[in-house]
Amino acid sequence: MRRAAFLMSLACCLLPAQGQTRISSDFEIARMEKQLARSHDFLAQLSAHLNLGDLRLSRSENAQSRAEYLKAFEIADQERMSARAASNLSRYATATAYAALAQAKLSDARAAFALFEETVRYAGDDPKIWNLYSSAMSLLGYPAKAEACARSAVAIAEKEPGDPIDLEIYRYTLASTLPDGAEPERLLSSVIADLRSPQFESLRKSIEKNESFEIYSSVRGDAAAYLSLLNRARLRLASMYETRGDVARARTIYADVLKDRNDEPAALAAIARLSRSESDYAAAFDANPFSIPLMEDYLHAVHPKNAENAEETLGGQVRAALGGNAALAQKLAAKYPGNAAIAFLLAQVTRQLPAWLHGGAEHVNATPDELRALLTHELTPDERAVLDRLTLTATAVFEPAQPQAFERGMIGNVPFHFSEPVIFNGNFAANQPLHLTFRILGAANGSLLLEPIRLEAIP
Amino acid sequence: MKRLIPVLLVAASMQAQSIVATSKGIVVATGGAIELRGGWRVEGVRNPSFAVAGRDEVAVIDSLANEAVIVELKTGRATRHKTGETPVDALFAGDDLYILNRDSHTISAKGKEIPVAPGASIMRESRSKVYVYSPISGTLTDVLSSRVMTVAPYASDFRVDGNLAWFVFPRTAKLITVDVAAMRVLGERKVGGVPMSIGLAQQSIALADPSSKRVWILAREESFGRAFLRGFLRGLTGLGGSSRASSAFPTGVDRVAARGAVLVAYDSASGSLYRCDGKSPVRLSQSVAPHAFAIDNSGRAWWLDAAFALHHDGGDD
Repeated sequence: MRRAAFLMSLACCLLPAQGQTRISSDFEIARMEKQLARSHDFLAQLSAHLNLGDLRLSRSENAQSRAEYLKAFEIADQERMSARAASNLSRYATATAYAALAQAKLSDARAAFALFEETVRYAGDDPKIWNLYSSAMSLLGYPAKAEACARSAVAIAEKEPGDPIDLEIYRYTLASTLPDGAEPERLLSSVIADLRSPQFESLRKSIEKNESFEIYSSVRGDAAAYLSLLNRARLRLASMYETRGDVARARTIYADVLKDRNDEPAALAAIARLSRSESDYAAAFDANPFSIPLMEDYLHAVHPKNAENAEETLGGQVRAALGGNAALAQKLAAKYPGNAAIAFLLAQVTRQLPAWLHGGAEHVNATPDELRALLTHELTPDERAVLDRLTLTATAVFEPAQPQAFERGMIGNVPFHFSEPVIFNGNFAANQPLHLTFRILGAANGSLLLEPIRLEAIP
Repeated sequence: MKRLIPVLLVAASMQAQSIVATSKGIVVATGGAIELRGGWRVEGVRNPSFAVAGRDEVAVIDSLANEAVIVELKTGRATRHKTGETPVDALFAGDDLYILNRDSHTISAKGKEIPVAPGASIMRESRSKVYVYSPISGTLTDVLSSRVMTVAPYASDFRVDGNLAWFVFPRTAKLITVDVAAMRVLGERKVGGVPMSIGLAQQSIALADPSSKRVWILAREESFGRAFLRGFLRGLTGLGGSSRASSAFPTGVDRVAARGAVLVAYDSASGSLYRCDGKSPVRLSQSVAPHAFAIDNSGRAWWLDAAFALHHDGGDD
């Protein structure tokens, strides 16, 4: 079986930036929808539904993604029955493997496992089947099974060499199943080096000539396999270096990925994660505004605020909403109903509004998350009245200023400042956690304006 | 005559059920429960992939969760065990349970982990000897003596009886006979289109061939020694001169099970189960799970249907 008549599933589920695809995945979605409309053969229909499922999932469009996977399963199941009735057992094994893969994508481990076991009875000599099996087991969270299946694929392919790019795919899959270590590093480095070697020169020329750039999880044809494999292998290797703390090597590889495709969302998210720069996050959110991992990273690492020109792009709107713009979050939720990332965003923004903002307490201990919510929240008159009478206490760290005088600092990851330097009674040092009691006067430039009442050492 | 014997079972999916004939009766395993028909009922495994019976115990295996529950047939006392990675085959040799863990390349037996060839996935027993075959390496190992020989890669099934073992190869449509005492290949012959599974009947070998939708019946030599003395190639395969095909099945059968003179065949795609020891195959049921049928000592075929009702095909209970 040549790849032209077989799909390769590239294990992408273990990438740390899972499911991050450019919003220009619009392009890939359009391509797959066109494929569905124009090509009616089994593999064209199947790969289109599988890829659409993956693309929708990467955009947190979970219901649509599931519908695509269900359709893929129906097509594969129909094909396997028809192949069996026709006594075409090779076709039967292939279709059964795809039905199993679709079940894995639908998170039905039991059905996927049973179907794959049926497949290997018929085609246990086919490395492509073992490779699919491995990808599915990774997806379902069975790493030891995934590794064993991947090793079978590599062992069979090395014994009976076929298409060289197939073997590279199997090695990549094997590396994807392994925990960080020397073996996956060696495998991934070797895959990348091989793909860049003269062996694939003519394929590279053909890719350049056709200006191909799309990246899919289920690939048909050598060009798509080459591009997708090179992309995944580099991302995985870079992620391995990043996890080890070898930021320089990781950054170099992410940059390499971006040289080939400057809107590659996983690489952009990684670059932002490494730089913590607002502009890098802007690029990452523009590439995929619907990535929950990116939102979590942004919330955790940055002090979200309304970026300049935030509403020019969808990514900008999402960042602004994450900064606490509840009205914008509501607007996005209305525009993208059923999108899990937007639902997550809305939950974050609304959940952040502290209960004491609407209660009758005189004094509260405030958390950084609660205070951060106020950075961009537009107060109602009632909320203003609450804040006027409320005193709060939080753990603050001051920046060094004039001797004995403090003007600004951080409460957790929330910046704050006073209207002028303040000298407190007592002996307090900068860069030390202290209990600050205060009132909130307002917020400006991503920093809370506080009125200090009391400063105390932490016992 | 088909008889319906309802049993109380927890609802589970088609794939998660298996039955096995034991000396005390039929044992049914579904998601979460193991039950001896008319006897005890105990907590089982979540995904009962298959079950095997020994003289005094039954073992139900969950290949997905790497778990086995072993139940004493007499008392229903159950013990739960973690297995190696992906237990795909198991058997009792004497009173000892052997579990073959494909993805950790081990056999769990007698409290030990015995390493086997990568990809080893089929295990058989004869005369208290245990043999394991790896389709990827094509090697057969006598587990207890650690003797290893190369047969050929990618057999889909093999059976052992005494000193003879037969392997079927779907891609090449071959049957290879091995002398397991000498650990050497005796010979090979072409058979069918895509032979997938072997059943050892009293005087014959049955091969399920889904491509031709038939079961091939090969007469066995009465005496291997006599065949060897005759020196004919066919004799050296442990097979007699006669072979025949069953009548065509409505669907392609790819599993066959035999006990004495009783033969049942199964189509894993449609879940159809057939009795095929007569002139023409008789469909017993549809939508039966791959390990949800068995033949008991009295020659009755049993199966569990999609509604979790247990049936058999004749005779008194």
